[in-house]
Amino acid sequence: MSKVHVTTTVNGDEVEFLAEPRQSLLEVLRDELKLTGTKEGCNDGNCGACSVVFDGTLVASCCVLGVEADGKKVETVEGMATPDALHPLQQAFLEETGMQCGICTPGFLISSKELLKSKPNPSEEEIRFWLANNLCRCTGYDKIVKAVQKAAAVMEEA
Amino acid sequence: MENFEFHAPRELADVYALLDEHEYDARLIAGGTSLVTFMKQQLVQPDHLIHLGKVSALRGVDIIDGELVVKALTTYRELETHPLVLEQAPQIAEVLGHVATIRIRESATIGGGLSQGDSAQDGPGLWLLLNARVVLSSSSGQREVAIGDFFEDYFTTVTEPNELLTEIRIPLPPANAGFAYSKFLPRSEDDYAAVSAAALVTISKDGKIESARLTLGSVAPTPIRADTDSLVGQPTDTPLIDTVAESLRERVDPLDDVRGSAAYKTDMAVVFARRTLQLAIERAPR
Repeated sequence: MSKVHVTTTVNGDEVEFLAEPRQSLLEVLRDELKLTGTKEGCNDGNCGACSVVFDGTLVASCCVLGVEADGKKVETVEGMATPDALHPLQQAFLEETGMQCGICTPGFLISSKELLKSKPNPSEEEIRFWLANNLCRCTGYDKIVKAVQKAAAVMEEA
Repeated sequence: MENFEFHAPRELADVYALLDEHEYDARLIAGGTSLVTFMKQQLVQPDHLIHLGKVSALRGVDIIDGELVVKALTTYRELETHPLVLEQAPQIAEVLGHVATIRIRESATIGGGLSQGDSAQDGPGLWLLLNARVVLSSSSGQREVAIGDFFEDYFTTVTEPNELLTEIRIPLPPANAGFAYSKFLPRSEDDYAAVSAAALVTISKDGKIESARLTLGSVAPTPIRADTDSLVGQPTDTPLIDTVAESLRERVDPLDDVRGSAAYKTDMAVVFARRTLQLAIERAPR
């Protein structure tokens, strides 16, 4: 089966790659584009470790085919920090220790970023509902929720 | 995952041509939240995958002649948050809010969910409750199928290999209806139901049951509708509610699985049918 030529935008940069149709977007990001910030957890759409923003929509990149990215915009965790500073969410996750092993963290960061885009000042309940998409087996979630609240406050001030 | 040829047509005519050419060797992909998982597990191994994401004719939500018309590629999240739905059919928003997680609802589509034919999902029982119809289209035209005739068996619908489900037409529920949806989840909040039940009831001015509908999901190869004719004209506390619920014991045919044994699910189907009907009656404006 021949490979497919795909042109897409990742974190604002136009990129091209050749993908086998069966490769997931997650595999393409990690194996072809070497953007290994996005993690594989369950690989069946349940855990949220592979969350990315796909044309403005939060998706599990393990359930999207790489060839579907043609002409789309993809945002991954690598696009969050600037050369000068971490994103307020990343800073808050550090300060609140919203992580331990770190595998789920990129997914939490991307999901939280999408939440704050539509709800800049979410309640604790709204944060917990939204992040029910994402599983963490280390922190127990409280610190993650605190980190999102802190980042929301910082971003509101900015 | 086995490899396949990937097609991304932009026009419906091109989709139909691909279906005509490849028939059983082709599968359509919309949100991909189920199909990609099935392909990874090699439960489905198409030679040709037809991606619908670029077909703009399959997008949109509208109200036409008192019916909510939802094009196939509308995502669960789009419908759940759509102003027309929130204003005129909030029951749909309530049920769709129970589907998996927000991230899945942002990708999964109404047409994809229907085409999958899985009665354990939240949609099938709801669409049956609302007397919806689907439109199946192909190069030779289109046909409308009532939801009650659409689902045939586990993961099987009447859709022919050359057909594409293009839209669902949902008559708006009466504004004075009481509605209830129950999803019995023995495991986690984002799981499939062990038993789901939906009920829609209107009460007449003299306080009697004017109309009543009840459907169940997850307890048979297809969603099922209870026979509620006996309730019409009865008082709201009629013992016939128990009779209707109990009659479902003979109708359900659940699977033994991690969510419970078939015997337990059968008992729960009766319990949830009764509770859901009572709740809808309670909520119906007098």
